[in-house]
Amino acid sequence: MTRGIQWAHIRGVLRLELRKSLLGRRAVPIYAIGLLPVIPVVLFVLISSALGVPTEFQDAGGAFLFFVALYEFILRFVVYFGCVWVFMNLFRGEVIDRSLHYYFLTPIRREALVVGKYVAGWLCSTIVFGGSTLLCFLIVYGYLGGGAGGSPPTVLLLQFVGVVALACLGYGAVFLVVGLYLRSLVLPALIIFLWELANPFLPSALKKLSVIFYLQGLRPLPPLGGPVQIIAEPVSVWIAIPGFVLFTAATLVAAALRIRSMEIAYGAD
Amino acid sequence: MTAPAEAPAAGRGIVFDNVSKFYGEVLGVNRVHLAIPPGITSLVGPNGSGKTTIMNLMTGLLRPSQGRVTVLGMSPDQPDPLFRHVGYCTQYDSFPRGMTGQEFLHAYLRVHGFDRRQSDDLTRTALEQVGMTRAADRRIAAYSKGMRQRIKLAQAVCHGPSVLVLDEPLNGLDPMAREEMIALFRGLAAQGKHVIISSHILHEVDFISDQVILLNEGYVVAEGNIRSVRGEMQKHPLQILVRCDRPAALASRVFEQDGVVEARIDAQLGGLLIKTRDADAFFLAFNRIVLDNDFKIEVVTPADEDVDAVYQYLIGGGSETA
Repeated sequence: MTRGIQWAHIRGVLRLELRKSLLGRRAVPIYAIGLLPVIPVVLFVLISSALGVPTEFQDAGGAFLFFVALYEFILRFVVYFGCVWVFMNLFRGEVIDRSLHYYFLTPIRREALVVGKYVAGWLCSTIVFGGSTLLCFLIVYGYLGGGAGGSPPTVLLLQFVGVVALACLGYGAVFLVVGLYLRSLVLPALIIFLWELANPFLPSALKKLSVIFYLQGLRPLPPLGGPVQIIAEPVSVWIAIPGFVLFTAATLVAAALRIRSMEIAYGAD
Repeated sequence: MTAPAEAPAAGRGIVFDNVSKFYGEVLGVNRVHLAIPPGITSLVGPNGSGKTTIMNLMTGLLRPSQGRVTVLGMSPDQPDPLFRHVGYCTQYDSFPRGMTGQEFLHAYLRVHGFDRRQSDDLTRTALEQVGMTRAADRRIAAYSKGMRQRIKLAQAVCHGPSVLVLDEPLNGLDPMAREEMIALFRGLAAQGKHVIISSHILHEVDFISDQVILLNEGYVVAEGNIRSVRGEMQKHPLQILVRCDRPAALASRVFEQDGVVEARIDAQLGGLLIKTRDADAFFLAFNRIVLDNDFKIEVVTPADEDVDAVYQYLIGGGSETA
């Protein structure tokens, strides 16, 4: 089978999955999660307009400080739980809906199906959560103005959105695999969440087994103060990017292995 | 871009070589040997007899615990070549959410690798084949059971497969739609395609099948042409129904023949029911008796050469199959 035909199959999957993820009923929680960081930003603007901007945000770096704090929330909660929903549903949701067999009855290699679904999930999560980050950034900087931690705002914005896209890539691969191997979604998501939170306290070898470890080395600036920052080791970009790629590739290989031997037995679910 | 596939060497058929499938410790099918030729083949058996398991094994939705399955020489665990030639209408009455019938077919044709125009054309043709053109733009969620069944059939046939696997395809269809679908299956079989059907409506199976595979508790208990299967069952006398002007007189004459074990007037069937252990000898003698005694014969027909009777003889389970 030629690459052209394989690519046509993957495009077909992408088209269908994007439609399901962005326009179907499955999209409602994604948009709701995506709006989570926008709500406090809008509230902040409304309240500040009425009562005045708090003093700690009035100097040149005020917007930057505000956004870095908000970004921590976006990365740790919004992107994380958003990816849980998007990627676990790629296969698990279809098993629950009893519609996965339609894909298995098309002439697409199952590994290519994983790739198609994964890319669709990544695009969907990046569009929604990257868009959410962009919106927050524009509102904050539009309202507070001021400096941007030494970088021009556009460069900083690209960095913030870029790291969100990478986070979706990494968490997406993890949750795609989890959705393929496990039936229950809630418990694994909570365990991985705690694992990611505990990352700074883990031994060096175990730290590398988490997405946040690599993201910390890529984000524009480390998170604001506190004990976590003191304990966390800095990761160079040269370790972070290859490590991130390897980590993602390894999880996708695990997904491909699982899907290759997967049987349709909805009754057992 | 993909063109509808040409059938590979049709002679290779569908082959099960000593195939077993276990769900944990539960038997699905055991030691199945089959070679299914082109034409309409029906899988018949009660619930849990292994019909759907065999279909799922054929299409790679299940993997055999033991043995080997090939479809037109291809392994079902290679979907890329296989599903250019195979279409499967499953028993699962579920669809991706929020789609119309037309969108459903079109979207999966795109996954098959067809371009937009080809997908448009194939979607239109499939919708016409199953009589769903008018309802194509309605959401599947609003379809009746019969319409859902038809759109599943359309999904199975839309890419022009040479092997069509249909799990209970006539479920939920009204009589007219059944006739149309049976005509469609016959048309496909006449083109030399493999049409594998499971059905619990035995007279329908008898009516449409070129061959049957009778299953019970995971085992193939008989396979082949219904009449040849029936002919091999020496233990059960062949039943022949005769309608004529003087049934009582005919009964006394035929009862004198060797091999005839019973001759009685059956009010329910409306004629003389004769049971014989030697069909060939009986028909020779029967012709002579009719000519010698000038009986006026309306009907002579086998009364138990249908799949229902064969099934009852084989497993004694009555006709309550599913």
